[in-house]
Amino acid sequence: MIVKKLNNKGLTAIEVLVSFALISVIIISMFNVINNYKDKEDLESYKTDVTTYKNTLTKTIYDDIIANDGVTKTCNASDDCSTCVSQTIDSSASDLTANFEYKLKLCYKRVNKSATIVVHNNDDKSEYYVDFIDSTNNKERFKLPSLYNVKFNEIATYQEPKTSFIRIHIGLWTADFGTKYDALNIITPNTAVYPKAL
Amino acid sequence: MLKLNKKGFALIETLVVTVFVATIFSMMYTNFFPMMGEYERRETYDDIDTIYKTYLIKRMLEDSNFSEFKKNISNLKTSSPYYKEIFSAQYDPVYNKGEINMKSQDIINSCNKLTTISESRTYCQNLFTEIKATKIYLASYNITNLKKEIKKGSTVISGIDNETREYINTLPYYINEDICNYRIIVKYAKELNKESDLAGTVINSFTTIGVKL
Repeated sequence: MIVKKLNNKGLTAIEVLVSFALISVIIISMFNVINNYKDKEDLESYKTDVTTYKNTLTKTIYDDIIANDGVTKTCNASDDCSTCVSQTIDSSASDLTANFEYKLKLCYKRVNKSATIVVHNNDDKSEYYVDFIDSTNNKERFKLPSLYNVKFNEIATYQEPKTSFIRIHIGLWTADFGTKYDALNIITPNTAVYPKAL
Repeated sequence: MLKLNKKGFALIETLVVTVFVATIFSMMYTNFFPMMGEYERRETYDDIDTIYKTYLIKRMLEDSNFSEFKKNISNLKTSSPYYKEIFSAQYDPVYNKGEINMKSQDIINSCNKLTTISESRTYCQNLFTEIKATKIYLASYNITNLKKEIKKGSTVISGIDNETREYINTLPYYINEDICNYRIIVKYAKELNKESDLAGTVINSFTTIGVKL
């Protein structure tokens, strides 16, 4: 008589059910952790984009300033550098409307050379950018990264009375990070006062 | 007769594997977290604003009016301590958030050592008031010897603080001296999150540039 040996391999149904239950609990608890890390990664990636944007624009402006031996005054874009009076702007979020455009002319020490910075906010079209028209009339547009709706909320330019250094400040804001987030800050000596500065 | 069940792990096997896995994870942990700190610290090295401010310092120092500090610097290349502190100023520890104020007397004293010409001193004082530099070290363009002294922890470089030494350790050796013969290493006071609602803590940022003297 042949006795068939029972196959003792495999899992019982209850073992399979318990395993599935345990694995589901682990996956659900990991889900939140992974989600948090993903949000963090998105945020850091966005901050990197804004920093890169700011650095590229800063470099472009500084390179043009240095190539033209420095800034002697900042004026309205429509004025002539030979006759304009150095402008002081000190606006803030309360002065700026949702849609605006500020144009600023940088008058250079090199004769008949200037550049223009155009700061543009348009909430209706979700357009936020800076145009920089350099001393050779090349125009370059620097659009803000669109995630988190960063926009410009402050513009200031003035000559510091004590030191005669010219400052240009463009503030960035997003509702997610508070009333201020980051800013472009250009500091340059007034080369009308310091002829050998640059 | 009862058959022994040979499935499963012995207790000792389980313990050995647990200890092994725990050791691997703790090694990964101790290596990973310092990297995060290193990354955050390196954010303060050579950022765009300080690079251009350092360029302004370079142009000033290369000017012929600034001759006082250039006396007796040729030995920086060959003799210990391989560096010279040419500027030092502190900031006022009590300040309004968003604006660090430098101590004007420190700036005046340092600028007087850089140049004897009155107009140049005025520019020097105005520049450092604006850019918030706290230390400038002058060294040979090739900083191999300086880095060696720092690695040795030698007492001759006691004038350089630890944070600056860490920055210098990250720099390459700069062997090619075709264009510049010296190098300045500049330390700045920078406000953390200056533009945000969290403005407060002052941190140090560093940058370096070659100069031709």
